[in-house]
Amino acid sequence: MRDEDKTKQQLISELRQCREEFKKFAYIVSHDLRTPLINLKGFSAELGFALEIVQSSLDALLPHLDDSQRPAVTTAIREDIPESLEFIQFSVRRIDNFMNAVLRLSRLSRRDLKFESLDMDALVQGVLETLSDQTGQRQVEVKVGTPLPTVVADRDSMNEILGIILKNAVVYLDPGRPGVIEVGGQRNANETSFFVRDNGRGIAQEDMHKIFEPFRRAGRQDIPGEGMGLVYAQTLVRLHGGSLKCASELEVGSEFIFTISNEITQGGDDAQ
Amino acid sequence: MPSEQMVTILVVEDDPGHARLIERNLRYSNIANDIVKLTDGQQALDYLFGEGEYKGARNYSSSLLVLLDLNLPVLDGFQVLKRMKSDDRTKHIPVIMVTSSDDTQDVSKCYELGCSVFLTKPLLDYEQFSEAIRKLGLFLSVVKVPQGG
Repeated sequence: MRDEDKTKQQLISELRQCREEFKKFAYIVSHDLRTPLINLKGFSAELGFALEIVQSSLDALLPHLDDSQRPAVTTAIREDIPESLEFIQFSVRRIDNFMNAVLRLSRLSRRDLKFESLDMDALVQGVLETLSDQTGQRQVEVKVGTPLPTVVADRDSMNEILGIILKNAVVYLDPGRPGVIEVGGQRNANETSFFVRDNGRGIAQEDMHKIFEPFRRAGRQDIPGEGMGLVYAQTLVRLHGGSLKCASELEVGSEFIFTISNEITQGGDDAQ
Repeated sequence: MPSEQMVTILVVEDDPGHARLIERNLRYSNIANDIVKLTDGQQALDYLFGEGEYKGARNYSSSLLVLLDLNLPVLDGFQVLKRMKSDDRTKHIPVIMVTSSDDTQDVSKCYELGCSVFLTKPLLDYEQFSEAIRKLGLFLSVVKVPQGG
């Protein structure tokens, strides 16, 4: 028994160390990559300024060129250089988005959690209000199974978790049928679980693994998004000693269920 | 002491690209000030105190303004700032932090140590950064900084 305890302690400490190293790695990578990226962004903008100067005097310049040179110079200055610059700038923006997401993830996992008793009815209402523009436009019916169980958790994290899941439920509704979203919860012996169920477009079975992977998205890519929402939500749920799961059927709807450990005590950090 | 002496701008930045972008944008505002580029924290202190490769130069006595990065080799920006602000010869010199960090802890630490302004190099808003540096240049052409002792 004592040996078992020792191994368990060892494993926990190794896990903690791994987590620390990952956080540091993510932070360093995203910070250090910024330096060369600032140069790419800065000097491509500088090239843009220089190009404007050249472009503005192109008409005056062209009559001095041979007929054979004129088309190539015109194409280079009016089309090729601006297009190349646009591709560079577009790519820099993409890399920047990736890095900011990695940085945000690393910041989420080192967040200081303040555990307090939360009135989940009020919290869900608050989140729904932030989505009222989207739910109003789509005429969505939202049914909340009140009273939802109270939990001891970090308020900001709960707002974010529910914000991400509810927003997904709303934006991925099927415009072909009236949207219905149900929210409910239940307190069990060791954990409290919450679900968000929708009758939206659903996720194909073979795409299911993608939704919790960073930068990957499932299904049609017609809604803007970076493919990180559920990754953030999962990280935050895990910080509460819980898990986030999804059950879904294509063209029928999805259900997201997350749990929060009941072991967390107000002001404590038992889940960490 | 000549009161109309033009401010020398010390750019302490280890990345040559960043240093050049800062220099270009300062020049766009048509300033004629000397711009001295240094690449690590130790070099910056040596320059300021006339030590090491700058022995005998006594640069703290001239009219200076420092643009300081945080992540620097040998001595980092915090160490340079701390040393400058704790020495009577250099504590009057305005220091503007120009860094890619936007970490709130870094920002408050620099202000606590006595920096004048904290500027972030924003990735997506290079135009904004460029504008800020140009205006800084314009500002420097009329600003007065204390003379060294």
